[in-house]
Amino acid sequence: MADAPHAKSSLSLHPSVASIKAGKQQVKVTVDGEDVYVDEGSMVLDATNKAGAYVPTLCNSDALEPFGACRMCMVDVGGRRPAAACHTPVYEGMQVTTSTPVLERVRKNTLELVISDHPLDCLGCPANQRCELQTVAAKLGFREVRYPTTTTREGWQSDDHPFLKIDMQKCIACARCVRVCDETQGSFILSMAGRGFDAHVSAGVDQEFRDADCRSCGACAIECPVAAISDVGDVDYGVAEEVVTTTCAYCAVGCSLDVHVAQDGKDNVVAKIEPNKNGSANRGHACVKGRFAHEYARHPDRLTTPLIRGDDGELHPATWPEALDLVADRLGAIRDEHGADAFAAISSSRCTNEDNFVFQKFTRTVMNTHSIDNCSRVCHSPSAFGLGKALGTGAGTNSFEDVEHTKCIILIGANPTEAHPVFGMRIKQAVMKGAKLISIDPRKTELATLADVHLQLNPGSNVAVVNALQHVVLRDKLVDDEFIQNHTTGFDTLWDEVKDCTPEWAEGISNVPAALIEDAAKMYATSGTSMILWGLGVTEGAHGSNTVFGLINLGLMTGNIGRLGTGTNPIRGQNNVQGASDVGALPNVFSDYRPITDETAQKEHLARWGTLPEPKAGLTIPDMFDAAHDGTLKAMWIIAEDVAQSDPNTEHVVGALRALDFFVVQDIFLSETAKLADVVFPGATFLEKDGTFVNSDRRIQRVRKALEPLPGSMPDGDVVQEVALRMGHDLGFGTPIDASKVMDELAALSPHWNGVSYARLDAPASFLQWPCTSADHPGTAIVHQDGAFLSGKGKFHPVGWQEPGEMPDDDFPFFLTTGRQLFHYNVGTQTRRSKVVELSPAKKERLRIHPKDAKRLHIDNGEIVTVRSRRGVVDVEAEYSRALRPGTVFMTFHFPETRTNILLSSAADEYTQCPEYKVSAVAIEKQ
Amino acid sequence: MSNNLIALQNRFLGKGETVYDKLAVLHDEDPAALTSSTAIESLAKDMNLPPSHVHSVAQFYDGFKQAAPSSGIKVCNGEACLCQGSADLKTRLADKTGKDVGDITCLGYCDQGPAVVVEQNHNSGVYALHDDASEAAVVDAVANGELPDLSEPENAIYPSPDAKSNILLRNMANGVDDLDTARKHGAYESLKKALAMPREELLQLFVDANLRGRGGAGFPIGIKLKTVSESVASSGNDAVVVCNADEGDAGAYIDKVLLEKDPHAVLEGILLAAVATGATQAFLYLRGEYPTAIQQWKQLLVDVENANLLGDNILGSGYSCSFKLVPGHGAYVCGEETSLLRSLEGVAAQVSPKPPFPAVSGYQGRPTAVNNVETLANLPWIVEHGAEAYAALGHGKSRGTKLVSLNAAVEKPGVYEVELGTTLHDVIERAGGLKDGKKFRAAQVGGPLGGLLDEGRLNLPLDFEAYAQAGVMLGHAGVVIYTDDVDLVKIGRGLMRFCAVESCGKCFPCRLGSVRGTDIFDKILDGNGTQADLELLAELLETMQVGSLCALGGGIPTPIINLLTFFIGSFSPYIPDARVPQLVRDDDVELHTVDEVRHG
Repeated sequence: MADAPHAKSSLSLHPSVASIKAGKQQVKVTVDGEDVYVDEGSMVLDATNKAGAYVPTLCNSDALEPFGACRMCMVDVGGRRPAAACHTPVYEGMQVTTSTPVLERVRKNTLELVISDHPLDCLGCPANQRCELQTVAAKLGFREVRYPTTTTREGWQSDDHPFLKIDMQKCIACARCVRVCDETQGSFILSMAGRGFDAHVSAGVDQEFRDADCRSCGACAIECPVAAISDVGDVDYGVAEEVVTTTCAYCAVGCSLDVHVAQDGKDNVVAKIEPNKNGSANRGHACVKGRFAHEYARHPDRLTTPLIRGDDGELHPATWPEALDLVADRLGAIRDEHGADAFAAISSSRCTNEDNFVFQKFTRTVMNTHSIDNCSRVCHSPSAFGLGKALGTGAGTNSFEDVEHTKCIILIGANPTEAHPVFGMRIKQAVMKGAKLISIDPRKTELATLADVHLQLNPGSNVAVVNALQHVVLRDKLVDDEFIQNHTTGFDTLWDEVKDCTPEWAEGISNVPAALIEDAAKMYATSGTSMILWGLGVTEGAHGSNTVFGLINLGLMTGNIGRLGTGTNPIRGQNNVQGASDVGALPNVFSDYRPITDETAQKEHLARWGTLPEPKAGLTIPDMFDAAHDGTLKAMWIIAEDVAQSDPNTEHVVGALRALDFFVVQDIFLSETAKLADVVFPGATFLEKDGTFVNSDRRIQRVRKALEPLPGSMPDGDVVQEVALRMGHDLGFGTPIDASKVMDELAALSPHWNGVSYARLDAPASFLQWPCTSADHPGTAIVHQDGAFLSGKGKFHPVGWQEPGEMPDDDFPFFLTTGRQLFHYNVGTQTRRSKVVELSPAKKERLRIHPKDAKRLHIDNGEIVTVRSRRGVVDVEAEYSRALRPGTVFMTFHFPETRTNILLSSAADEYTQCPEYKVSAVAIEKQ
Repeated sequence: MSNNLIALQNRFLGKGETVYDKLAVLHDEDPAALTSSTAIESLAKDMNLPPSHVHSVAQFYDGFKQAAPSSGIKVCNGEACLCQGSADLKTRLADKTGKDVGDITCLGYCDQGPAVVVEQNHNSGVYALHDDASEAAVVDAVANGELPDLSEPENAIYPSPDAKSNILLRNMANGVDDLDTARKHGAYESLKKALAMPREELLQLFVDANLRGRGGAGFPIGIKLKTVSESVASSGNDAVVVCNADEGDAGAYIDKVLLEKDPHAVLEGILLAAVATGATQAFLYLRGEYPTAIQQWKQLLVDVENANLLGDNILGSGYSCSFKLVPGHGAYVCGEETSLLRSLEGVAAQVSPKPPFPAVSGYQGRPTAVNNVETLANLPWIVEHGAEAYAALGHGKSRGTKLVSLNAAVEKPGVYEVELGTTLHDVIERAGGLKDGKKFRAAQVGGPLGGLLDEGRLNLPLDFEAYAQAGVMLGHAGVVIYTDDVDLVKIGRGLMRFCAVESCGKCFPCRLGSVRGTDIFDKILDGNGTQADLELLAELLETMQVGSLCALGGGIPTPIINLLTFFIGSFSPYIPDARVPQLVRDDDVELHTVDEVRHG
C-alpha cells in the first residue's frame, strides 16, 4: 500500500447532496393562512406537512411516487375544484385550505366507503395500533357505515409464507405493496389484477408468494397501511417494547435496520426487523436475509458455554474462567517457547471494527506478531491491492448513489441482485431508468439478462476481455487525453501491452464475440459518465489483481474516476470486510493501511501501545496453513471464520488446523472449524454488540446492542480482553470493553479516520464515509475528486493475460464456477438456522448445468450426479440452467452437506494469494 | 408506477412493443388463450417479463379475460338497445340456442337496435335483430356453427342542409371510404398544403378556428397542439399524436360513422395534428366493439402507406410519421386519455394523475396530443376553408358544428350534423319527432358521463357552457331518448352499475362508490329505500364528483344528480314522498360539471 499523502482537495461534500441543498428554488405556499417555503417541484402535501396541517392519506408513501388513489388528501388550492395534495405540484403564492365543509364531508365519506369493505376486527388485527386506516378513522371521527353493503371482497388469505401473513380481506387496494415491489425492489412479483371493485393485489398469476418467485424482501408488508400483508412478527408479538437501530451483518451493503425487540418470558427477543427509513445505504429497503433471517440469534444451537478438548479427544463444556485461563496459559507458553512466529490470528470480517481493532492490538502487543489476517484475503484482497497501488487507497472510489447518476455501468464478476440484493435492485432500477449496462459474467444473471451488452465469457478469461476493452478504447482514441496528461502516470507503456489484445484475440480465449467487446468498449468510453463495479468474479482468480489493474486502467484512460457517476468500485462481500482491513487486521499494515514499516506509524503506535513487534510482515491466511503443515506455526486463534468450510482446498486447511499444537476458535455455533479446536469460546451476534461496521462504500455505521448476549456467550472483543488480562496486559478499553473508546484510539491512529467518533455517529442511521480527517470533516462520498488522487497521480498498470490456475481438459472437461444465491449467506451458518430454509429455492445445493451438456451426459433434471475434480468428489442434484453456456457449470457453497469447496482449485492470485474460487476444472458423472 | 414495466417492455420486446399487443395477437388466434394462467406464465417467460405484469394486463380487459359465451352471441346492453328490448332478446336467444349468451356494451347501432355480435370460427358479424325472422336466422346459424345470412346494418347519416355548416358528413354519400374516390373528392389536399406551411402558421390556424375537443371535455385543440409543440422544444422528446376512437358512450356512434364512412378525413386530421406538432408517431386507438371499422382500417392503412401518405418522407415532404392502429379490448375507461395512454404503452390501463398532462408528458413520457375522432376530422376542412370560416359557425364559446346521434326512439334515427347553438329540440324535430306517438320522458345526452335532460332543457342551445350552466353535460352528444314507458330509476341504477363494472379500480371514490351506489339503487328498487337513502346517495355523488381521479367516477354523478333533481318523481313508486335530497338542493343543481372534472 502506498504511503499516500493526504490530499485535502479531493475531499468534499457529495455533489448530489450539495446540488440538492444548493440548487432548488424555494416556493412560498400559504397553508391555512400560514406561509411555508418548500422546494420547487414539491407537492402540496409537502407544504401541508411542513405547515403541520393534518391532511389524511392512505395510498401515499414517502418511499413511493405519488399515486392519487385514495383521494383522502383532497384540499382546496384556490381553484374551482379541490385537488389531491399528494400529486398536485405547488406554485409560488399558492393558497391551500385543508379544511372546508365539503372537504370534511368528502373525506369522511371516502373513509366510510373504505370501511364498508373492511373488516372491523381491530382488536384481533396484527396492525392494531399501527394501522393507518385506524389512525385516519380516529382523526376524522368515524361513526358507522350507512351504506347497504351487499358486496364485500373475500380475497387471498394465506399463512404459506414463513414471514408474511396474507389477509386480503383487509386490503384497501392502495397498491403500495405493488408499487414498492416495482419502484424499490424491482421484482414485479405483485400487481393489481382485475378492474373496478375486483381490482386486487395478485402475486404472479394470482399465486402464493413462493410460487411467484418472490424474493421475500418484505417491503410489501412495510408499505401495507393495514394488515393485508403483515410480518408474522407483528402477528406473534404485537407492538414491540423497544426499537434499536443497527447495521445489518450480512453483506457489505450496510443496510440500516430497526430491530423491534419484544419480551418473551425472561429473555428479550427480536419481534421483527425492518429497514430503517433513513438508512443512507439502503433507503428504507432490505433483503430477505437482513429482514427475516435473524432467528439464528436465539437458535438452540448457539454455544452458551466454552468448550475444552479433553484427554478423550472430545470437546467438553467448561466454565469461562477455566477456558480463559487455559488459553492465556497456552498462548503465553507457546509464545515464550517458540517465539512470536509460532502464533497467528484470523480476525473476522463478520465482527465489528472494534472487535477487529482489539484483536489486532492483542496480536501485535500481547503476542508480539503481525500475523493477523482476515477473510478479505480470500475475497477482495486483489481489489484493495490494485486500488491501493494504482490510486492510493484500498477501497472503492465512489458511492452507491452514483449508480443513479451514471450513464453506463460495467458490472463484472458480480451478481448483486442475489449477493447484495439492496444494491443490486438499485442497479436494476437505474438500468430501467435508462443507464446502459454492460455485464461481464459467465452466467446470465438477473442483471445480465437486462444488460445492453452481456459478455458471457469463460471463467478465467477476465484479463483477456478487459485487455481487449482497453485495446478498443486506445485503438479508437476514445481516451480522455487531458485527464491522462494531468492526472496519471504510466500511460506510455499501455498500448505495447494491449496492442495485440484485439477483440478477435479475446474471442479466442473468452468465447465472447468480438463485436460485443467492441460495442461494450465504445459504450463505456463514450457515455461521458461511466462507472465500473466488480465482485468476486474478478478477484477470486489466479489473476484477480491483474483484472483489477485492467479495470482501473479503463477508468483512468477515459477519465471516469473522481466524478459523480464514475469510478472503480469493488462490491465488497462481507458486512465488515472493508472495516476489518481498514482497522488493521492485516499482516503488513496497521489501521488505515499504514505500512508496518512506516516510521511515523510505528512511532504513533509505540507511543500509545508501548510495544510493537519487529516490522516484519506477518503470515497471510494461506501462509498460516502452510506454516502449520510445516510445523513452524504452533497456535492459532480464529474468530468467527469457518475456514474449514469456506476456504478452498478444504483438505489442506483441515490438515493444517489438525497439525497445530493449540487452536482457539470463537464462534456463535460449533462450526466445522470449531470442531477442530482445543478451546471454543461462545461469541455474541451483532444483535448483542455495540460497535461499527464499514460497508462497501466506506460508510462507517453504528452497530447497536438490541439484545443482551445469550447467557453464557460473550462479545468477541471482551473475550480477547479477558485473555489479555490473564496474560498480564490490559488492552486499555475497559472491562467489559467500551466500544467508543476503541473507536477513539482507532481514529487517533488512522489519519483518514481522525474525524470519526461515536458522538458523530450517535443519531440513528447516521454515517461517515472515510476519508474523514477532522471533527468537522463531512466524510467523503467520492475519493480522488477532480483528478486529485490520494496517491498524487493515478498509475496505469499494463498487465498481460495468463491462463487461470486450471483449465478444463479431457479428464475434467467442465469449468466449475461458484457463487451465492439470494436466500443464503456464505456457508449458511446463520441463514440455515432461520425459516429462510422454508422458502423453496433455498433447500439444498444444486449443480446448475446447461441442458445441452446434461443431455449429452444423459443426466435428467433433478438427477443426483457426481462432480469430481483433481482434489475431491461431491454428489449433488443437477438442475438444468440456460443461464450458463455449455461447458460451464455452477454451484454455491451455502450447504455444508455438499462441500463444494473441496472441489476447488488451490491456485491463487499472484500478488495477494486470494484463492481461485471461481475457476476449477471438473468432470460430471452420471451415477 | 408503470415506467419500469414500460422500460422492460422496450428492452425485451423492442421499443414500443407491448404485452398488450402480444396478448391481442394471441387472443385473435384463440379467444380462449388468455383465460389460462399457465398460458400467461409461459407467455411471460418467453417474453422475459414479469408474469404479474402480463397477468394484470390480461385481467384488465374484458376482451382478454372473459371466455366467449358458448353460443358465440353477445347482445348489446347499452341504453339505446335496452330501450329496444335487448334484455328480453338476450333471454330469448339463450332459451332458443340452449347456450350462454354474453353482454357487450354498445356496438354503435343505437339507431337500429337491438344489436348483437355473433362470433363463429374466428369470424364475426354484427346484426340488428328487429324481428322474429332475423332472430331465427341467428339461432339457426349458431346451431350450425355458422354466421347468419343477414346483412350488417348501416347507420343513417343526415348532413347539414345548410352548405356552410355541411362539414363532416359532406362527402359520405360519395363512397369516400375508398382511397381513390376520397382523393378525387379532395382528401389529403389539406395535408399537402399543411406540409408546405410553416408549423407556427398551422398551429395558429387551429388556435384561431376555436375548435374545441368533441370528446366531451371541450378543450381547444389549437392550444393543446401548441402546448405539445412547446413541450417538444423544452423536453427534446418527439411528439406523439393519438386519435381517441374509444367511443364507449352507449348511444354514441358518431365516431363510428366518421371512421367507417369518411376514414380518410379522420386520418388526414390525425396527420395534420402530427404535422402541426412535428410528431413522429401517431396512434389510432379504436374500440374493439367496432369490428367492421377495425377491419376497414387495417386495409386502409396498407393503401395509404402504399400511396406514401404515411411513414417515411410523406408525399416527398421530408416529414415522417409512423402510424399504429391499436384495437381496444373491452374497457370503457380507456376512453379516458391517461388510461388510453397506458393501454398504448401496454400496461394495465389504470388512470394516472394529472399533472403531468399528456401534452407535457404522455405516451412513454413524450409530449402527446390525445384528440377525439370528430375533433380531428374537422381539421382538413379548417385547413381547406380557413379558421375564419369555421369560427364563424357556432354559439358562444362553442364554435363550428357538432355531430349528434339519435337512438331509435325518433322517426329518423341517425347521425345529424348541426351548427353549435342549435337546440336538441330542433334536432329531434328534424328527425321527425318521436316514433309511434310515444311521449318524451328524458334525453340522456353525452352518455353515462353526460346529462339527463328533461323536456324543458331540450331548448338549451348545443353549447358546452350553456349545458354546464343548466347542470347537464353535452359530452360527445350521443343522445338516447327515453320515452315515458322507461323507468328512470332503473336507468340510474344502470349508470351506477356501469361505473362499477367499468371503473379502472384505482381511486377509492369510483371503485367503492359505484358499488355502494348500486347497492343503494338496489335497495330502493327492492322497495326498501327511504328518503335517508336518497340523502346518502346525494352525499355519495358529491364524494365521487369531488374525489374521483378521472371523468368516469367524476362524471357518472351528473346524470344521476339530474335524475334526483329533474325527475325526483320517478322515485315515488319506490319511496312515496321522495324529495330532492338536501345536499343536491343546497348546491342548486350546479354541483360540478364533467368539464371541470376532466380539466380539474
